[in-house]
Amino acid sequence: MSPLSRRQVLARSLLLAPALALPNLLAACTKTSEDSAGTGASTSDAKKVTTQILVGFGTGNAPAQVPAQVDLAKAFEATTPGSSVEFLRIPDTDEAQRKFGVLLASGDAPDVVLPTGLFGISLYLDQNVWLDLSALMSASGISLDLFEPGVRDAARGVNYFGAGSKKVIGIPAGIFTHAVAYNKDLFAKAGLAEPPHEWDTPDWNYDKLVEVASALTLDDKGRTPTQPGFDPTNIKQFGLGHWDTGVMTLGHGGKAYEPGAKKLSLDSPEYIAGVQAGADLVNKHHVLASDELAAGVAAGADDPQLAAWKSGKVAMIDMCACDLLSFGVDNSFQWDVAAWPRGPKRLISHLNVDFGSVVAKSKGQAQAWELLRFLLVNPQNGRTLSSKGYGAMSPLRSETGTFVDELKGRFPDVDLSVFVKALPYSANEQEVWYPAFTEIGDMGSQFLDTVKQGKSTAAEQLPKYQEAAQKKFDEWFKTHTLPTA
Amino acid sequence: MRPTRRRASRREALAAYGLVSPWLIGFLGLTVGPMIASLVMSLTDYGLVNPEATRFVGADNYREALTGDPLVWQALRVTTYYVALSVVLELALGFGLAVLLNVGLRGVGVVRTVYYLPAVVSGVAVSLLWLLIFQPSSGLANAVLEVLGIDGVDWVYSTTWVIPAFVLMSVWGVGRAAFIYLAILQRIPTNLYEAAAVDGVGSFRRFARITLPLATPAIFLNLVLAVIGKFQIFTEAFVISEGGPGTSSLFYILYLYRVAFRYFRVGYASALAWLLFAVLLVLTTVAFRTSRHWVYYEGERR
Repeated sequence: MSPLSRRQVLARSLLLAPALALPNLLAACTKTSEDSAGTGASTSDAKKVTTQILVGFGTGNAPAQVPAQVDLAKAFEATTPGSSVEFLRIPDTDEAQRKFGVLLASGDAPDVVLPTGLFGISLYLDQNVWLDLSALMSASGISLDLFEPGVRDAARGVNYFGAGSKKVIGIPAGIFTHAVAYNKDLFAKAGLAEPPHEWDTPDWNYDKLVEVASALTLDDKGRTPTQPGFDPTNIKQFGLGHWDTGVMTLGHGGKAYEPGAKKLSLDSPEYIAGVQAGADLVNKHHVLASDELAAGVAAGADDPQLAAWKSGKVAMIDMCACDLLSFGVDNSFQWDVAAWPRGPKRLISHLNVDFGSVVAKSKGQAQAWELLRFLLVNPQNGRTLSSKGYGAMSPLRSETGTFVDELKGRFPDVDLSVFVKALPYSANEQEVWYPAFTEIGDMGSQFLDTVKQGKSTAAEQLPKYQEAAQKKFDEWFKTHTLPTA
Repeated sequence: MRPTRRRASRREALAAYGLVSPWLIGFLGLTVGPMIASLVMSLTDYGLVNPEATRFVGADNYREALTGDPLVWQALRVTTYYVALSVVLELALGFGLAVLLNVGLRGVGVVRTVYYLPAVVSGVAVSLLWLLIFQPSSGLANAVLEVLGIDGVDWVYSTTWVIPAFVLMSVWGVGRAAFIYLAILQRIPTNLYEAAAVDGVGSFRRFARITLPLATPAIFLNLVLAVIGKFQIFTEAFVISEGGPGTSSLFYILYLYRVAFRYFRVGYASALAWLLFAVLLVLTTVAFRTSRHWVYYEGERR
């Protein structure tokens, strides 16, 4: 064979070049196989209807939680011929939300988001992302009455659709109540009585909390904040850490939004008092480890609050039941849980609620609904999925009490009944939808960061926040209408 | 030209286009196409979640950005402050570093490699490292200040210090600019220095009259690249401060990202992107227009 001339090489390359470019272009425009990691369920069989579940809007991706989800998915496949279930797992919540938006835009949305917290529901509520399940539920003879009363309004999206609406945008999948977890060793060392396990115990209030936390906060010379010479810049042990100051705003009677009033109330005296009380824990009483301060006592960790608690340098934390498998395991000290203290106006603790929602753009809505029904409404499956799949309490009224039985083997020395008894005192008022939900929420740091740092006061900043947020709120109503309007 | 030669020439031209077609197809499909799409989107209320509800809104997005959204101006203020400080620092330190690296010392090759390393390290990893350095109570930055007898500051947790902290971080990447300077410093003919030395010119004047003028093309290039690059700071702010405390580190691209991927307002985000493009175009044009007064090219007559 004679060698090719320069011109022949060019001519043949001409044909080859686009052929080389094309696969790259196609690769750039095609969904990667990494997107559907999980069970490894095959989608090659054209007769099978695949339901894709996005797991990433909260809990559900811890290695210990995956097997229960996979087993139930396989059980569904076994009982529903021609079905397959595929998991799309994105461990980081922010990343999951970003990817979900892109998948929706590209017409490649997952069929189901499970679990999704109320915050995740609220992010998309006014954009018609969630399928109204009410007709499918009625046809199946299923009612929200099967679930705990505290989760029903959230499942119906009442702030958006209105209190009288029959729409249902998610099936409750798990509930997480909160309690005060405390380091028993530190209480014993300080000679303090442990906080009460019974809810609504007299005298267990915010003032008492500060008093106890103060006795457990020590500087490098072992002085407490109430003792002379205490050095707030050199705290070595904190009374409080990983604390939800937002709930304390509710305990002071603060309420950000009144449905139907078309007005925010971020500058109400109650709201101001609650925000200031939260900031004072850090800057005035010096008992709460902010993230920066927690990093100071447990340097170099990804999650300084978790590291500070595990190092035994924090006496009390706000513990969500969802934190049991992180804050509750491998501790080198004795710990237990107690009730939340009462605020000046209310006894309230935070309630995290997870749902399973069908995406309105799903091409397999009927099977997606059947999957949710199998996983969340069937009592046995619902209990298994919530406890083993998400570390949560089952929201099914018939199953709520089984939470303690499911977990007592793992936490024999912890009074898990505190989490169950928390239900009547728990509400999720911090994550419910209101107009311009994300933008107004993001705006908060603009005004509240300086309050948290003690460089400004809630009385100075909240009226400004109210003004800016109300403006955004009013703009939303210029371009949107509530379905009830 | 004879027909056969013309045909051959055309074939050769076609072959050449064929060879560049991988790049050309990519450029048209993945750069020009998205740019045109974003320009069109900027005239709509295109939402990421519900694109089918898109409406044409004309210049509303631009109007909102310029007159109705205080965060756009805050983001521009924050970014400009950062760019002004970090560009000056990068130009000065990069040049100083290049002059030092240009000295033929033993082991200078290793030092050059070390200084270029930041350019190939992941931005996220670097950001996490700096986050540890800037921890108020346990970080290296305040520990160094303490040794010097200076009170530490809250760095990325302070509205006052967060931008200076990001500027200090930007010094980490100064090696890239230094290498561009180094390339041009090594091209300056040594006979110029020898002639100056023979004439009794001191080292400072040799630097000011020979090195600096002949390095101005590199300074100009670094200036333009740095301004464009620094205006697009994102990773560090996204990882470390998320725009806070308050809005004190709300850089422009971070805000644009938030608008697109948190508020799902892709149309508005596209308008913000084109406004940034306009700002950079103006700044780059100004740089080019003024360059004829201060950039000197070897052999050029004025």
